[in-house]
Amino acid sequence: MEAAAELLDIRKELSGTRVLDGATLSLAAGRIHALVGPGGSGKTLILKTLCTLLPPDSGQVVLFGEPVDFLAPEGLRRTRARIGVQFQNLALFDFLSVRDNVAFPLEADASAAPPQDVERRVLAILDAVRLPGAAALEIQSLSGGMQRRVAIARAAVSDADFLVFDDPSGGLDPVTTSRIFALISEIQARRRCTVVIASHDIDRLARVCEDFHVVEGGRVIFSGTLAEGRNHADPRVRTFLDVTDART
Amino acid sequence: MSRTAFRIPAPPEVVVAPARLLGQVVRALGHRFPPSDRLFTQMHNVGNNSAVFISVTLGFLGLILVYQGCVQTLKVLPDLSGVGAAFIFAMVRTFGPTITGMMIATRVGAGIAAEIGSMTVTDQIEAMKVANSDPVSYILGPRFVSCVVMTPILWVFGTLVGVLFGYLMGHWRFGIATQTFLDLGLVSYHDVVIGFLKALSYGIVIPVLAADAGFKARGGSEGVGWATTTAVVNASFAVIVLDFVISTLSFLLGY
Ligand SMILES: Nc1ncnc2c1ncn2[C@@H]1O[C@H](COP(=O)(O)OP(=O)(O)OP(=O)(O)O)[C@@H](O)[C@H]1O
Ligand SMILES: [Mg+2]
Repeated sequence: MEAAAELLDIRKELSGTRVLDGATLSLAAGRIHALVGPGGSGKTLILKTLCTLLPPDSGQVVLFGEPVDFLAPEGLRRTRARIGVQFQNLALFDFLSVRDNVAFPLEADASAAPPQDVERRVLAILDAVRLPGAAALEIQSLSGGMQRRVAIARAAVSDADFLVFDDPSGGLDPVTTSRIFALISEIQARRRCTVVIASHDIDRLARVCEDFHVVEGGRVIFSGTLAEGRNHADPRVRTFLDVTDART
Repeated sequence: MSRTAFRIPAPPEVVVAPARLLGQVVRALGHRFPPSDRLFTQMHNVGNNSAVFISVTLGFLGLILVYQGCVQTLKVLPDLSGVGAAFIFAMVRTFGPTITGMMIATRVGAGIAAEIGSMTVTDQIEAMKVANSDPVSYILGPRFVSCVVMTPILWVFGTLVGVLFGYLMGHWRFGIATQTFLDLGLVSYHDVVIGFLKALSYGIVIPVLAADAGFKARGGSEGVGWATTTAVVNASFAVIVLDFVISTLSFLLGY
């Protein structure tokens, strides 16, 4: 199957430490991928590399079939127009209202949506994340969970082909978590886009994701289905994907 | 014997990075000028944040300079008629722009660095980039324009406040007549131009150095603290260096 996003032997050092150490990953197009691994294993950095925000020291990033040239602004612009990201720490613009935050990707890049469509899309996605009527609120006045939903709405508001969710359920209650995962899989089913979710919630990931990728020590040590992972030769993969173990 | 060819040392990163950023923001502004409402908010921020600060500092400076000037003059001459003209000359050309610049470097520079720094460490800058919004244009653009516009305005304002307080000291404490004190005889057209050029150059470098520090912030609140301190130190230092460079050049060119 064709890959929407690929990392080939990515190496990266940050402040003198090797944080990505030969990471290789291929995300098949049109599917929901789970990126799991212990805290500090490099999930966030892999996702940032995938969305062109972290130029690697060596190795190649291939998005939508084309190698990413980090020095070519026009190419980067076109690639980024096809990516939607929810950051682990949300990265909401605290000087803008909820509506302006969600509309930001549409208004910053005029090619993302015609201006007359912006309002309708923003309201629709806010509805989908169950924040109707929050449009006029300030970011600081929202609870952590509400902010996370705004961040998810901002990631999914445009018609991106590749959606990246870094810990979409962090700090959310179980009911909202289920809804968020359902929403992500609904968006994916409707648009047939490629989705990657980093999370520690193996239980819920198992319900929406077909492909699992286990990260450990700055590289991807396993890619395959959950069943394959649970029978993998490497005990680290087995332990990590085992629901009962992961819960304790 | 080893022969090392003489090489001009490469300019340090602390100069290169802001120079590049300046180029970027100028290009970005040429491409798209910030909307007037955001520009106005930023100008209001710069003016509002600094006006009182600058008034107090330059007011006290005026009082002190005239007091000292008069006391020292009286040691050699009983004639204070030249104090006002010399004081106004120094205010217009050096103290007005440079003290204003220093105050803006601390007040506005710290603010810009803290804002951009916290946006950097919370990934807001990355979120902008991935949404195809240029943070240099979107965030630095309006702040840059407002500093470039407001610094010369604050220079005029600060100089007037300084002169006013200096006059009050000279008039009430030392009995210098109003017409004698407010003597613009020593201030030439060139001095005004040089004062203006200084203020303008501070208005250009302060936001750029502050933003450069902000964009380089790493880690959490510690990184924001680092960015703020770096911005204030670099911007204040740049004000002093520019004051020296512009003064020296004008001296060499005979103005
Ligand atoms: N700017 C940085 N400088 C130095 N090291 C960093 C930097 N950012 C991340 N790291 C290191 O890289 C490693 C991977 O970090 P990353 O944030 O990708 O982990 P993660 O898998 O997302 O963890 P979590 O599950 O807690 O979100 C960590 O050990 C972290 O300390
Ligand atoms: Mg992470």
